[in-house]
Amino acid sequence: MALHDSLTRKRAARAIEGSLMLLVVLLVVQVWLLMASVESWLAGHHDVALPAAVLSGALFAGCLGLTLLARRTDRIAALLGSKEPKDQA
Amino acid sequence: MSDSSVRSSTVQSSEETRLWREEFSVAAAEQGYVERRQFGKFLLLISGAMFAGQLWLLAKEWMARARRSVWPRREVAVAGEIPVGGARVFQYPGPMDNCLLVRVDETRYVAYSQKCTHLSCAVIYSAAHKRLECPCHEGYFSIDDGHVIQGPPPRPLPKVDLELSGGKLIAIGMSEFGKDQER
Ligand code: FES
Repeated sequence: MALHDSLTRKRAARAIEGSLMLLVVLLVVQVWLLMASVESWLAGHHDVALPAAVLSGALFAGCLGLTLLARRTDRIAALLGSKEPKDQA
Repeated sequence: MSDSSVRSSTVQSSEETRLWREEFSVAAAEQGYVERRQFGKFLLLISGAMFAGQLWLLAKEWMARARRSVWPRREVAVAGEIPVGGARVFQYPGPMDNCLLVRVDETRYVAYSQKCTHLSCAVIYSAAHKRLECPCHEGYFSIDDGHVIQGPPPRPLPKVDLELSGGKLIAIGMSEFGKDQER
């Protein structure tokens, strides 16, 4: 049967949706962080640059991790999906 | 409409749908799935851009720190050549950084960056009100320390530190509002 109709595919899609939502949350925090740190840097608080960069790096790593996780889930689902017909036979 | 005719029309419409799906074999679920994946990549790209922006800020901070540690000394005027209540534009620390030197009274000179902290219009000195005024959105700054008196500017004007030596006014560095008190 078509791969996209399989249960595993649906589950993978749901997992990807979940990670996308988390990605959006992390991204909102990251955008806010950049805005706040630029604003306070311009206001003369020069010490914020380093911790803000570290935190932003951590958030980026989180986003990267989530994307990789989603991709792995997708790959596993594709593998399972391609095995399904044989298993059923 | 009779029961059988309703049933036959339903069967017909489902048949049509099937035909339509066969002829235009666009897998909607698959398409949505791919779109979500692309959206994920797009989000990651934005996240990378935010991180790059933060690194840019850090690089700017390091460069500014290096520059702050070695301010150039530059002669900006000869004392007495500007009348009381008068002002003169000079460039400091770079050739593109316009600053304003103001003679407030007989003995007192002050200098500030001329770039308004709101949207970078050039500020001018108002001798009548003894304040620096931005003509763009009526932002006013104090002539004493550069703090914002009124208007949209979010930050005070950076101050140029001056030194009087040998009858000459020399710019020796820049300081931001509140930093003088810290030192
Ligand atoms: S640019 Fe100076 S007040 Fe807006």
